[in-house]
Amino acid sequence: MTFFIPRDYATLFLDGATIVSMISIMLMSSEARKRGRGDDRCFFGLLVLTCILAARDALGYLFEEKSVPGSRVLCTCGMTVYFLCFILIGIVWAHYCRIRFKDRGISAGNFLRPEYLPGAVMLALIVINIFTGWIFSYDENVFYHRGVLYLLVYLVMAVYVVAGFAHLVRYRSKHSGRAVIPVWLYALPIVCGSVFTFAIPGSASFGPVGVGLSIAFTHIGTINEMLELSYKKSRKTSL
Amino acid sequence: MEFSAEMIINIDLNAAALLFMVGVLVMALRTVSMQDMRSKLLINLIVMAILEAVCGLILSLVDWTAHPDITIISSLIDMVLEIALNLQLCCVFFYVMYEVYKSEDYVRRKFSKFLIPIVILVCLPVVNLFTSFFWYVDADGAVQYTFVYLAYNIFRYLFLVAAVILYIRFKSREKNAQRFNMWLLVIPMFLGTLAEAFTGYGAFILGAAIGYTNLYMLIANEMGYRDHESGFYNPYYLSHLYKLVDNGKYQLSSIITYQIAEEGEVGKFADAIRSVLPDECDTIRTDADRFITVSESADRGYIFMLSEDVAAMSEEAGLEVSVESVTRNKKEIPADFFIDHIRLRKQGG
Amino acid sequence: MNMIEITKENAADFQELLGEDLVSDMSRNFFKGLAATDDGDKCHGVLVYELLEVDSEEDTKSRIRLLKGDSEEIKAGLQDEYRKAVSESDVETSFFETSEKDMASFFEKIGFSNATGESKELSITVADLAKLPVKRNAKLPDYIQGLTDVSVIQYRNFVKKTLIRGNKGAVEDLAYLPLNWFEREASSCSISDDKIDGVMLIRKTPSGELHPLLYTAFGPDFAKSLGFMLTRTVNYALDNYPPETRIVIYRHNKKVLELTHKLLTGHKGEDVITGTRNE
Repeated sequence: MTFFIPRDYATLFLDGATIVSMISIMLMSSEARKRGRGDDRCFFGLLVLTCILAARDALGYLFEEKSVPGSRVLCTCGMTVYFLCFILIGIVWAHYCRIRFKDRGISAGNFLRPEYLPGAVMLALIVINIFTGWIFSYDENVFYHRGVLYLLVYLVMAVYVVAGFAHLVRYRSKHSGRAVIPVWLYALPIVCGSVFTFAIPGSASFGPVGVGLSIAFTHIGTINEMLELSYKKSRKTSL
Repeated sequence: MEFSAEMIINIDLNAAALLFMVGVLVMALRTVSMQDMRSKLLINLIVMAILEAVCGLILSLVDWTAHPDITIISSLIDMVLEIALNLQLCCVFFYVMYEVYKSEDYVRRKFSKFLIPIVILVCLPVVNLFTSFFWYVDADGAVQYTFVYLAYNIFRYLFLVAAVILYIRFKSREKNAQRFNMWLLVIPMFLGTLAEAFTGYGAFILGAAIGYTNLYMLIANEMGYRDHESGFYNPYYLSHLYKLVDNGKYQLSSIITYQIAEEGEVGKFADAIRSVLPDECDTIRTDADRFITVSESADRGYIFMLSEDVAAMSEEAGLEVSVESVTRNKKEIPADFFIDHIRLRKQGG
Repeated sequence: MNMIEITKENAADFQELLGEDLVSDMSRNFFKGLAATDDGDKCHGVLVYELLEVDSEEDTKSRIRLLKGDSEEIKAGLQDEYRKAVSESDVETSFFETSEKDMASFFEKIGFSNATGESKELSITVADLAKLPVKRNAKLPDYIQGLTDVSVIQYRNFVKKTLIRGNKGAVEDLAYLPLNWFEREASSCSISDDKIDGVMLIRKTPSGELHPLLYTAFGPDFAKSLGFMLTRTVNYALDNYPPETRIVIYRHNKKVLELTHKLLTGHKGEDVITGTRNE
């Protein structure tokens, strides 16, 4: 089918796989969410954002550089959603790591913190980009062009991702013992995904797959470390 | 290096499957106990999937038509890929059987009965290498399938179908909670098979990779309900149990409480009593020094025996334990009995 | 006449009236007995009963196993004492089974509702086992064995498991009986994952009778295990006991009744008179 180039098929497969995988994990962790813990809720948010990212990624490739009526508007809106998810994943990831790895100065629902201000500003810039084109734009032939602030998006996201991992490293330095998986392993899917994307010419993007797997592995891999339940010493009474 | 359109797609599919599987393998080897059959079967599945993905990657990366004198190597790699796929399907069947029946001996007994079909499935790709009876690679490097290939495909997928039937029959018989959900394995595999059937690209391996990742996640999720010190359930399990009691799926009838004198002896206590706890009951660590065993039975004989055994094993281990029990009377609602006698952990992160 | 309680300590004193099997049973948790003695400690009557459903949530019942007395007055006296004892144990219903018409009439006089029927006890001999549809010298799988090699922990874990499932066969006090109370070689079990998942428990009474008391299995292969255990026990009995050895099967529920009808066609329980009374 000439409408689809090979990368489109591969993108559909990879992003479809990411969505199926994230939905499966959402279903599996639905019961844990009812515990009411903040990190479980943030984890769910990360999975949803990854699904949106993957869905947009798939749809974007289907409509970019194609002369279909309305595809320019569709691609602009889709890419806006893509970058919004990108930054939100970074913010929620950093927040998730702080709750999960016991930063006592933070409460689960409170995102109104000064350290998330750069992220908030970035979110605003992405929305404004629809009118300004500072981050990206699509021309009449629906070709994608990067703007002057394009790299800033990745930089802000990267800072939040690294901050999250740094929090895990700091937590482990204070609470040694039950860590069984080194931190770098959690980041491996993102790194490998990026390597595959660039190493295979014409390849689809492994971004959503890598992001989704990193998030899932971190959550699952740190379960044992995190269960420092505050068991109380019970009074010796009969039932 | 020039990649054709088909090559890119197949490379991406196999690379993505590898990403899933290598990541899950590393996680599984580090987090999952390798003692039980379930873990070993899962590792087997993942290793076979990795082997299949590597073979698929090699076959995709090389333009075999440019090297006609080494097509025998591509046939060998293809044979290994097929064997890996066939063994995966067999492993899935035994994995589901273990999850359904929770008996290693039973699975081993059944394995000896299924040995012949498994050996046949392993031999068929080898036979094909010399006879091209099921498929062959033509002069243009494309794989061509004979009319017998369909029979071969049906034969090997029978293991997967048998696993599904086993699971459905089990679910219809057992009304209690069963956290193993086979659909999380089968649906991604089915989607992968559909995608491969419609597009001709090797999407099954990606579907299988997602399925195996889900299996690992299911196992790992269970760890969220386990107390790391004793190995019994932790207080989070109580919310799950309450849900079952409240909707009538679990008729809570008795609670036996053990209180140990020294909080530091939790591990020792758990090791001492593990061998006398029945599989039908759940034991939960509710506090630093308190455990409960819950059951759907209010039989005083069983309660007497269990209390006696726990006291005896604890004494043997040099531990001071007090054991108390309470049973629900017939008129009392199980949910009320639960609330009256078990304190739920306060919710909130 | 003095009414005294028969316990495991003094049961041997009443062996003449009780018989050696019941003397042995008096050491069990739910077997109770009363004796009517005169001032010279001569025993003129005994009443033995077994409490059922004590440990479960069901209404407690009492099965009168034996009532003997030199006269109707003695039997009536024993019955009065019995009624006091069972009211303290919260017994809801008493029942009995007898082939003696005189005994049945006595029970009717004291408030029992009688009916005729087939006895729940089915008595056969070892020689009759040869007619069972069981292969002689069958090759059995490794996981079917006698109870000689199982540990006490394995046995107790199985008992707990079967009690949780509400299945205790004809042994009300299964939880309180040690492994050695059963005939370990004649009994069979099925082992899976180092745990017992099926048993056929046989008791050899002091008088030499064989009583199959529990026949159950669970797990995925339970049907096969039941068949193998029956084969093993039947073959063991045919090889090791004299053909005239009595086997008494107490058909305490419908399933056991149907099984005996299926396996032992042509064998029937004795015609008896049964009676029940609400306490």
